[in-house]
Amino acid sequence: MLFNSLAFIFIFLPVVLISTFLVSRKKRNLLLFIASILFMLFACGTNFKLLKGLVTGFLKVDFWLLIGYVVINFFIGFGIQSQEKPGGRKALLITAILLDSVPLVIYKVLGSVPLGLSFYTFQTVSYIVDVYQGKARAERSFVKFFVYMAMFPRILQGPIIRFGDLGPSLYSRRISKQDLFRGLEDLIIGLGLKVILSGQVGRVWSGIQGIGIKSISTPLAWMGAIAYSLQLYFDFAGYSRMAIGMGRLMGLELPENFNYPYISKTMGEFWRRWHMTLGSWFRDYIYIPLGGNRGGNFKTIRNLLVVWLFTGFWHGFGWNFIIWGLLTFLFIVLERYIFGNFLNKTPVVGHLYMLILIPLMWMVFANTDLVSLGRYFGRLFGVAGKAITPNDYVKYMQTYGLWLLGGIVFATPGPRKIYDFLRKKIPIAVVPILLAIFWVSVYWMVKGQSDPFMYFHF
Amino acid sequence: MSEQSVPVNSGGPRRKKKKLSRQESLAFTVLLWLLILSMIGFAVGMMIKGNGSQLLSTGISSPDTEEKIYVYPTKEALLIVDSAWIGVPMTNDTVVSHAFRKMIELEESQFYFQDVDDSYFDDALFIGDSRTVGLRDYAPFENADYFASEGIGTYTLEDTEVEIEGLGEIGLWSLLKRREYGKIYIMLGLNEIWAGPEEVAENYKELLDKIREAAPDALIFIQANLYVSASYAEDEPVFSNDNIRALNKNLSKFANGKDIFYIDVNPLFENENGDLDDELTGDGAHVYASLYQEWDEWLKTRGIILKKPELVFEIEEKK
Repeated sequence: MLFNSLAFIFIFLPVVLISTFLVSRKKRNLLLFIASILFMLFACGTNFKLLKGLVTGFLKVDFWLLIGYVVINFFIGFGIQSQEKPGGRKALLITAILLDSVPLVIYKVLGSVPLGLSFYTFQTVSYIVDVYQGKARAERSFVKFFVYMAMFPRILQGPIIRFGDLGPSLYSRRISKQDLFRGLEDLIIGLGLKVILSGQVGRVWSGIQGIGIKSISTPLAWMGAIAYSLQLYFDFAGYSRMAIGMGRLMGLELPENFNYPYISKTMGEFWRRWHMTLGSWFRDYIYIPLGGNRGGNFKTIRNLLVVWLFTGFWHGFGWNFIIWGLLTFLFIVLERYIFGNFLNKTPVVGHLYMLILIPLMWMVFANTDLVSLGRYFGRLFGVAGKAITPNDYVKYMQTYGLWLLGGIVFATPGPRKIYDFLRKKIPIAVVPILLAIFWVSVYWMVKGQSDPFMYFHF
Repeated sequence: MSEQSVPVNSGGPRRKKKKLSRQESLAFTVLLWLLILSMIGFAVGMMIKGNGSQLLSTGISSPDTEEKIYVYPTKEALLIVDSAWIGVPMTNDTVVSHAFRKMIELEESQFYFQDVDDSYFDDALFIGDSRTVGLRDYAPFENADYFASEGIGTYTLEDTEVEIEGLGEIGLWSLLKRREYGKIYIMLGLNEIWAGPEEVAENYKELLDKIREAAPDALIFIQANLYVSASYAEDEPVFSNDNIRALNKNLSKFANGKDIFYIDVNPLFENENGDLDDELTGDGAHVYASLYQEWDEWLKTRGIILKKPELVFEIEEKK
């Protein structure tokens, strides 16, 4: 089940939210536990229809992997806490880390990662390490641990939560009026980002795949790179915002995951604004354990290299992801030792540098085989391939130009600032805005769904 | 990534909790109620319109193929039928098959394809979905018209207006009134194949009759729907090439060998398994833009010239 599906918005979520208010606060975790299991069954189920999806989901290995991850880490976490011998604790720690990461590595190499698996490893490793280091206590309640690991708002794509961060709200599950309203706001805005903005600009990229990248014109290649960058951002940031909103609506505080990454001035800053919970995970569980920047320049550079190779590999098993990780590493090191200060002090240059770098880096990311990667860069700089219709970009500009422009505007904090200002001065004015975002999103969802095959395909 | 320059919490900065002002509280109460009421209204409306089942859709695009069971002929059986109609399936080792195919087409249906040049298409109209858009955008015949739009099918064709050079946005029937075409090429049906190859074919037939009526003198070419790649069909089982073959077979029956002809471009782009060749497509559903020229070249080997050349008579006499 996807967040942007009618069954989720009109049936699943309302039922869960209303039940959350009807049951006592103590029962809320149990309710979310059941709802999350159902959600995962629907999500794993390959069937189009709600009930059949439930049954088919039960037969999927994806579902049982989740159960396995939760059960194993629940008990190992417990074991680490009760074990007093340092050797035994360490053995358990290593066992857990291996059990948590090996399936991910295998699936990444095979190239078909089960739903949500990429994110289990982060949460389980952070939980086990935190328990080992005494930063968190092992959870005694299986229900609460399951909610931490697999609550449906975040199970598929994060954000990645530390157990200690969630802790307080997991125990109180108090829902204040402002939680409710902020949650609703986040949910609707996230849905709009994902369905309206990401959905529309995304069609440029799929169009380009259809033409065949060796045959596009250079302007269209750049348009594609920009469109892909926007699509990826709105899809992921929209999803994260929806997750945060749903968490709030149920009295759970989830961490922010995006902070306008495209207004960064350096690559380092970008990665503190993009998928923030991932960056901070790599910092806390790989970079710092390796020694961080405390062992001199050589070790710092080595540690950064390890982090970025891991980050690249996590995004996918392929040469392009390795190149992508290495390039990010390269820019971050160059910024750190050579021109980072300059970029920060001269924002114009910094922004320009990132605005060129971001779409190019995403193209390395998006073209998953080296041949098409080479071809795409060939088209971007007009050195290889040949446009089959040199003015193909005119058609794309006419169809998607306004969407791209809108996307660029919404990638900056401007619209949100205006919204917040409005909300403060004339609160009632946001009502029509949010209703409009919601119903336009539903319109696109229905349009995409009544002809699920037609909409994207031929 | 240095320790000093990143926030200490695991995510981004959290917004401060602030009590809602009375106005804000009022605004959100209004929002909540409007949202709830309009959602109920929408759901009821969907159910009254008979679309209630859409609300059960989970957005995972593996359609429910169990509810409607179609019995399709096997691929082998279809190939035999296809052979009767359009010649033997072309494989790499049958170099002669192109010519042989023409021979069979000739014997079976008493018509005769011949090679033509670009000017043959001066009075041609191409009707179709995104595949025809590809023909128009990447290898247009200079004087032909293309009534093509992404996503259309036989059910939606009549509600569609398309930009035609010299006429602006125009619907199909007005277009056929305004311009007289000698040849009309149609490739439609794939976007609605989920309704079932038989249903689509029925609707196709109605459309065909209307086109016949609107353009009584035109030669009509039913173009077989292009296959999709194997991986595409795997993701979207309703577009399996067996389904597409079944649809094409149904459409082929509408050809009469006199003024309606069936032509199948798939041998040009399919691999040995009868799927669209992965090497020739980026999205699994359309050939690369650079290949539409080959499609055009192929169309030029499928010309029908009404005045029957002598060869046809020779063969008829032999029979």
